[in-house]
Amino acid sequence: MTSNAIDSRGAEQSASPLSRPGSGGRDEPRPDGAGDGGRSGGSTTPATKPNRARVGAVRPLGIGVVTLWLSVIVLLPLAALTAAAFSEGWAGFWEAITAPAAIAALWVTVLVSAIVAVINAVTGTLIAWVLVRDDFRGKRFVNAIIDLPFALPTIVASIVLLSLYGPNSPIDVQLNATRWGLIVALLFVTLPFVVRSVQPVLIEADREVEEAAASLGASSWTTFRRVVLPTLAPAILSGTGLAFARAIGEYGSVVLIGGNIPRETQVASQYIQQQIEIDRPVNAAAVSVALLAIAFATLLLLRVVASRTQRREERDA
Amino acid sequence: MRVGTGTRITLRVLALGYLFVLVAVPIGVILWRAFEPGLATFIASISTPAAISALNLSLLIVAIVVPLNVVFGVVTALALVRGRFRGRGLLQAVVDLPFAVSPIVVGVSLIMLWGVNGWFGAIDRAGFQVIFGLPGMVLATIFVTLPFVVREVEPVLHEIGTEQEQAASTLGADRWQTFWRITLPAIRWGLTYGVVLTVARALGEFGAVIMVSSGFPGVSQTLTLLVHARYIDDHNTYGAYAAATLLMGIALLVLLLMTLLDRKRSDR
Amino acid sequence: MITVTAARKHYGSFLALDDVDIDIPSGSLTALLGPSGSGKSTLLRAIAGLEGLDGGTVTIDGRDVTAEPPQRRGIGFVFQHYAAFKHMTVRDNVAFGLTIRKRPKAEIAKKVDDLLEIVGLDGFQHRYPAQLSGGQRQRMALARALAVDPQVLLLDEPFGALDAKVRTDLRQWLRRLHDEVHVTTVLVTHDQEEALDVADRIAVLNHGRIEQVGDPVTLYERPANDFVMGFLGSVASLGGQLVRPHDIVLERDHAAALALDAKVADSPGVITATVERVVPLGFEVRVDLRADSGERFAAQITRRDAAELGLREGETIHARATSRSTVVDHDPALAI
Repeated sequence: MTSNAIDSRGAEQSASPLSRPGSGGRDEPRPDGAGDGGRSGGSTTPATKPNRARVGAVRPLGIGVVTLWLSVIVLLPLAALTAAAFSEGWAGFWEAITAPAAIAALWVTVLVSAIVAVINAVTGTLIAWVLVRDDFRGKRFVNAIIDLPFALPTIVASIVLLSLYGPNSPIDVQLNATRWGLIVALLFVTLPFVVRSVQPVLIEADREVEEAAASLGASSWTTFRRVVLPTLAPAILSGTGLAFARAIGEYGSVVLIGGNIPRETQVASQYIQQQIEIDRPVNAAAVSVALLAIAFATLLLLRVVASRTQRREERDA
Repeated sequence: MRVGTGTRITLRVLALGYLFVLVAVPIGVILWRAFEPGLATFIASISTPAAISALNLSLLIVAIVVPLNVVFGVVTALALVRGRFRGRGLLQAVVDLPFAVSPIVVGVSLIMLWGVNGWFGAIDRAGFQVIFGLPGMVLATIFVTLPFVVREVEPVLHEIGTEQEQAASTLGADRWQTFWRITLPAIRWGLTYGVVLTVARALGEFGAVIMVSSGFPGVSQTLTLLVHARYIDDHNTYGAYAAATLLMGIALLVLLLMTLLDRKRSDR
Repeated sequence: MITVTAARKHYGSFLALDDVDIDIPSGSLTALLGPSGSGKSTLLRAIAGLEGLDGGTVTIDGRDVTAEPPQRRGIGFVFQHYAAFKHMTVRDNVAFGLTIRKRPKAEIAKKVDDLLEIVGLDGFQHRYPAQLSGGQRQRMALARALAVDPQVLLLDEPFGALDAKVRTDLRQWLRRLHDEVHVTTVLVTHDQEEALDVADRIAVLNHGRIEQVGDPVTLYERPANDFVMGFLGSVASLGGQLVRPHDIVLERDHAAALALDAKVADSPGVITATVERVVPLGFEVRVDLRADSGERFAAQITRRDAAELGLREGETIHARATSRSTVVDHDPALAI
């Protein structure tokens, strides 16, 4: 990738839970033991005081500090959230997430996010293709633009879209407080995911295979459908999944344009925020846990698919 | 794949048209709206006492979060790359967790932990306010920015390996000297990149922060909260546009910095 | 003098060093030679302190350094992949150890310039490692290791990452450098030619054990077992025994061969074989043979002897070992 600023980084980072399964191999201790702390092999009793000069090894203190830090910042809050969600038992949790308004908010969230993910799969692939295979003036600029939604604060995205599609819209298109408004806002913030996940694959793709297909008489469309698309499928899927996961949790970009109309445009994050404001912490925590569960399930599914694809590729290789 | 000129142009127009409508036009409109009444009005709007205090608060949060993320991020990356211990895979997953958590859920979680009725409610009751105070906003910001430094430094550490550090140790350098003279310079671009991402996200975070801030103008309003409050509470649409434009300017600056840094990194 | 006593090292279930004892005399250039996984690198790294031992001791010049970190062992270490500090210039790389020791600036500058001249990198002071070739980087790494006046210089496959021509040049150059500097040097290599060429003592390692230590001539001519024999040069299996191909004499006359062979102690006897191929190798000629038993072997004879014999493919010939040849019983358990 020639110019990958924010988004490719962001996408890679977001994608890292997916790419994890295949990367285990390089972590194995090298046979010469350079990276090994030498801790693994102490089956014999040291005849002398063990050598402590293991360069680059991490001491238990460091690991303790890291564990404590991650616990206080990330794990404990999420544990407290889960505990709060179940503070009135399973029944309380179930009641909270099956309240009509909660169900409606979750439904709107998933529906809108799914639509956004599907649109992204198409437009993202299209944009990636144009950026890799086409050539025109200002391509680098366009490539940089893709990163903008990641760099832009979500509330700014909201304001930006409102200035065009909100009340007193200069083009007289009012999407304020409609599901279309939600969709446009979410399309804006999730724009980079599919583009940045497909782009590198398309760059690496073996063009000889496409030429071979063409030489065998396949039309462009057939070549794309039968040869290019299958190669890109894992990347498209992963980008789409990440976009979906991002969309279901999104708040800042939809808070102004969405209108927060219950059962119409109120998304789960807005519902949660509302429950906190009216002091229903159990409801808020329960729907939060439900939202987390959907996000984790999505990422887990992607991870399974990714590792399966990788295994198949390794087997074929 | 050989694509006819007609098809190629069609695809190009479709892609660029989509980007134009989704990204370029809205940004053009907000710039036009922000600067239409003149530069003086714009500057007046972003230099009101509330705006200045919001900028200061945002910068203060950045100033607290960045050093913490740098120190703990580098230690975490070192532990993940160099450590051989049980539960390393789990730690990896925890580092990625913030990417999967909605900002609002971050806010709720922090309330459940640090709020008056939370697990650590005793701290609040003892008079040290975390939620609805600066500590809460800092915690929320650290939560959402936690992965950046770790994930940028980790691959660099993998790539450089331990040989240079071993060489330094055979030449007489102790742990600290090795870290300062060898490891840190080797990871500096990755670290800088991670810091830039952290700054961008810390300045721009909204959902998690609004949940744990009392949002008083001039006291606990960050720049993003100011944009929201001006639009929703004050019905000061122009003020919201102006503040958003300021934030967008910062974002564009960050974007530029990243592109430059990225080039620097790949040159190496 | 470096003394390693009863050194043991495991990696999980893999035994990298199995009770290794070795003395490395002061001022020598010793090669640790062995196939990959033989433990030679582990032994070197244990001497450096880069690897902890599970058991055993390391002393350098009478000082027990087993528990000392590498910083305090007085060593210089050269890595196979140079381990150049990429963000520092050549000058800063070489000066690193002296800077750490907070030596006066003028002293550092002089020492660095002297060393760069010795290693032939004068004028490269302000370059970065990325701007150097592999051979130059390795010479810089050597200068860097020598800058701190180490008691011992340890080199881990120092020429392994270089191409053949540069490798031979650097080998000669290291030999000359050692003759000038006289620092006790230990070199790890898997290349027997390199060990024979550069070292004055060779220790052959296999499966974490030392098979034999000695000067190159002893090891080549009187190998302790067939592993050492096979590792230090090519071998031919003649009637169940190992000989060097150039120690095989080919005779047309069977009776004469038998008579001459009778004078050789421990002789493998006279083997009658068919010539399969004659391959000119320059000064010598390699003759591929197949014994009547079906066993294949090769003999290496001079071009003149070959011409006198007038060998042709398909002919029958009688092979015997020369009177001063190196012969080792073939032990299938040690087969390589």
